[in-house]
This record gives sequence, structure tokens and C-alpha cells, in this order.
Amino acid sequence: MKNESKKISRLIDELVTYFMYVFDCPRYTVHYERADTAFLLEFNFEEIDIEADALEDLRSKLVVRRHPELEDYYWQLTGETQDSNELVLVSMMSDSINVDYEDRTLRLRLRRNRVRKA
Amino acid sequence: MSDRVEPATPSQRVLMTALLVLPATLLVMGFFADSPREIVAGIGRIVVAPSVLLTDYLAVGGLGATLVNAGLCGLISCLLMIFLKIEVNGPFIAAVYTVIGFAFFGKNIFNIWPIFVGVAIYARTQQTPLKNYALVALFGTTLAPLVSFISFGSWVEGIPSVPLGLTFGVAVGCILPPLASHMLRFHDGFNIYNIGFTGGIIGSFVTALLRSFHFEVETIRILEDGFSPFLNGFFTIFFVALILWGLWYNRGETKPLREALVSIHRSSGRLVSDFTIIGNHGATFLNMGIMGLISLTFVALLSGSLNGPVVGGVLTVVGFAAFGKHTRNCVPILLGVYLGSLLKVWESTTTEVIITGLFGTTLAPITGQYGFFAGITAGFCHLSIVMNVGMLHGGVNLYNNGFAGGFVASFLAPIIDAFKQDRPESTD
Repeated sequence: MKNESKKISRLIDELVTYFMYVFDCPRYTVHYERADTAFLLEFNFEEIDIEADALEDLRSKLVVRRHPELEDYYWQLTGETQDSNELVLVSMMSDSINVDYEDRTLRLRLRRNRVRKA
Repeated sequence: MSDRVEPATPSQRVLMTALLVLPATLLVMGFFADSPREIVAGIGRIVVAPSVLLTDYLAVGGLGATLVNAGLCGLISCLLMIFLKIEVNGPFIAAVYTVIGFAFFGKNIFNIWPIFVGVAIYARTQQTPLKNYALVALFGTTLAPLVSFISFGSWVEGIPSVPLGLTFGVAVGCILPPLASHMLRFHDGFNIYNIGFTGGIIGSFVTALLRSFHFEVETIRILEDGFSPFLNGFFTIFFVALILWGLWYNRGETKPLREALVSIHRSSGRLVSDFTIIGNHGATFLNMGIMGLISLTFVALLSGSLNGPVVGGVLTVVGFAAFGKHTRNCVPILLGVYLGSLLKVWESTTTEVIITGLFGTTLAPITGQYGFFAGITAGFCHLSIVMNVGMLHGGVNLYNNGFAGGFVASFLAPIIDAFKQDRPESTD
């Protein structure tokens, strides 16, 4: 798909910016893998304190399913500011997202399926 | 570990039926308003009208034909969604209501098709499903008057105007998707009518070309206020029904109504704020009804009439109450436009000022992000800008406020952002 690499890098940018800005994250790692059928991203945001409400809010924003009918139009908004609206956009561009918070580390695994051309 | 849970999907059939209610009602009402013969004649006049801003179809074709045209344009939009298997969500509710609203003054059953075809051709060239660009196709009908104007509003010897108009429509449809996506970066999503901004750029470009070949593209002013009491009564009932429907529908939602409404009103409204996701569908319908009543109240307070453009403004606000607009972020914009009209050269009771207020809520995210006074400032500035940019595209871009809103948002947002109190950086 066209712009696929740009979209992936925007997703990374968006999530990293959000956690640095909102949760003042001092350390993170990102793992990227291009598999045969999907792009796989794994983020570990370390030494961050997330209240139960904030974690719930985060999960609610990441619960949206992929929306290809919105993605191709709005993807350029990702990575621009620290607004949590764009987390919904991240979610709309992903096929699955797992969120795991333990020992002050938030682990986020994101899968974006590779789409065959029409 | 918390896996992402698939959200409960409301019945799409019920939601699509709800979306179809307005266009179907308009269609039926049209046949009560006038005889079939009058409607056919009226639609004929609407189709051959140049349709540039401000062409009130109520004046051109009469009440019955205008209602039928609006109903048919809405049904076409819904059928496109059904055909492409698109879910009823905030952006598409906004798109369908916007198409219906502008079918009172600029969009008709003839001039919207070339835009659709152009977008479909673009999707084909990109080997991407048309579904991915359906939203752009619906909003992209902002440039439908370009088709009508070239087809019926201008005449240059030796040039077959209708094929030329259709060709221009298809061509702008082809270039809309990449431009629309790119233009988002200009205002960072603070101008909700992004395709209005894109349409303004394309319209200005094309109009400049046309003017250099002896075409005279100018805005006009054809308005009909005679049907205002009827339209006021109908839309008041419709918006109350939307509120009741929202309350009823919410019984089946997992998120309580109060919580969903709070989530919606906490949202800045900046793109992409889909209230069916941020809140839920029930609360979204409720918000739409409330925003409809607020819009009618605004028109009444300014002693305005419900003519075609004003109805278009009201319905667009209602549609975008599913996709970024709510009381908290819109009222300051309305106040700003009104204050501007008191101090500036324009009369606050004119259709131009009233629709600037209604469509000016494209800047609602400025209020949502930066607060009440920023919203008033945005509305105040917007009135001046919108009155000066229409001449660039000669009225072929129907979302003139979206065009102006792009400039206002891209001017104000970085300035406010630079001077606002930022959260302190960690000094550890």
C-alpha cells in the first residue's frame, strides 16, 4: 500500500510523543518488525505512573476497530500534536492492540495487517 | 494483561434506517408541498441553475422540488454507504447531513455525480477500495457548482459546455483525495470542514484559469424567505424527535447516557472526534438534536429567515454534532460572529452573517482546545475572513466557511499555542 512506511512511522511518532508529553515518560523502547502478513510494533514505556482512571481512558481510546474508510483520509493528522484524539486515530489504523501495565511499565503491542491491493 | 476488546457494534440496520429518516421524510414532504408536474419542472430548473453561491433552490425550483432534490441527494449518499458496506459513524452522519443541507442551495441530482466518478477513478488508479475515499467523495461535492456553472452558467462559442462541465467535475474529483489529506496539515485538524478548505484551494485555482479564458465567475445572491415558517416548524419537530430518539436508543448502549454526554462535551472537537466512539450513538443523536435547536434559536435571535443557505447551515451543524461539535465548543463561535456583526460593516440580520455564524462553527475545535475566549476571537475573526475569500473561487466552492476557517485556524492556533501556559518540563 502507498504511504505504508510513512503511516507506520507516524504511528510510532504519535504514541511516543503522547507518552512523553502526557505521562512524562523518561525511557522507552520500540521494536518494529515487518512480517509477511502484518507490521508488528512493540512499545515499552518505562518508569511511568498511570492512575487507574487514566489507564481505563487509554484502553477505551485503543478499543476502536480499524477503519480503512477513515484512515486513508485522516492518517496525516497522526504525530502532529499531543492530543488524545489522535490515539483514536492510532486505533483506527490498527488491527489489534494489547495494553499491559505492570511495575510502572506500559507495554503496548500493536498489529497492523498488510492489505492486499484492490 | 488486557487485550483489546472488540466494541459492541450497534445494529447497522437500525442506524442506517435512522439516517434514512430525514431524506425519506423530505422526499415525501416534497410531494405534499407541490404537484408532481411542478416538482419535475422545479427539478429541471434546479439542475440547469449555475448553482454558485448563493443560489437558493427554494427560489429557483420552489419548495416541493427543493425538498425532493434534498431527499434524493440524501438517499444517494446513504445508498453509496450501503453499497460500499460503510458503517454509520460520526464522519458519515456528518457527510450525509451536509449533502442534504447543501442540496437546498448548490448540490443537486445532476452535479454531484461527476465528483463521485472522479473520486472513484482516483481510487482505481491507487488500486485502493472506493470505500476508503467515500467520505472524500461525499464531502467533495462542495465543488458540485463547478459542474453546473461550466455546464449551464457560462457560454463560450464553439465549446460544448455540458461535457466540459462534466469533465471538470471528474477532474476535481480525481485530485480531491490526495489534496484533502494533505491540507489537514495546514490547520492540524482545527478546521472541521477540511474539504471546504481543500475545495477553496481547488476552486480558486480553477476559477483563476477559467477567468483567464473569458469565463466570468462571480458570486450571486438569489434567496427565498417565504417558506421560513414551514421549515422552522418542520425542523423544530425533527430536532425534538432526534433528542427523543437518542434517549430511546441509549437504553441499549453499554455506556450510560450521562457518561457518554460528558465524554462528548469534554472532547475538543478537533479532527478526528467521532462522537459515536467518544460517547455512543444514543448520546450522539441527542447532541445532534440539541445542536439543531440551538442553531434554530441562533437564527431566531438574529431575526433571520430559514431560506436555503440557512437550512444548509443548520443541517450541517446538526450533522457535525456527530463529528466534533457540541454546545460548549460552538456557542463561543456563534457569540464571536454576532459580536463581530455588531461592530463591523455587516448587518447581523442578513443571511450572510447568519450562515457565517452557523458554518463558522467549523472552528469549534479552537474553543475546545483553547477555551471560551479563544472561541469568541475565532468567531470574530472568521466573519471578516469569510466575507473576503469568496471572490477567490467565485462561489464554486460551497463550503466557503471551510475555506475561510482553514485560514483562521492555521493563523490562530499556532499563535495561541505559542503563548499558552504549557505544562512544565520535568527537571529531574
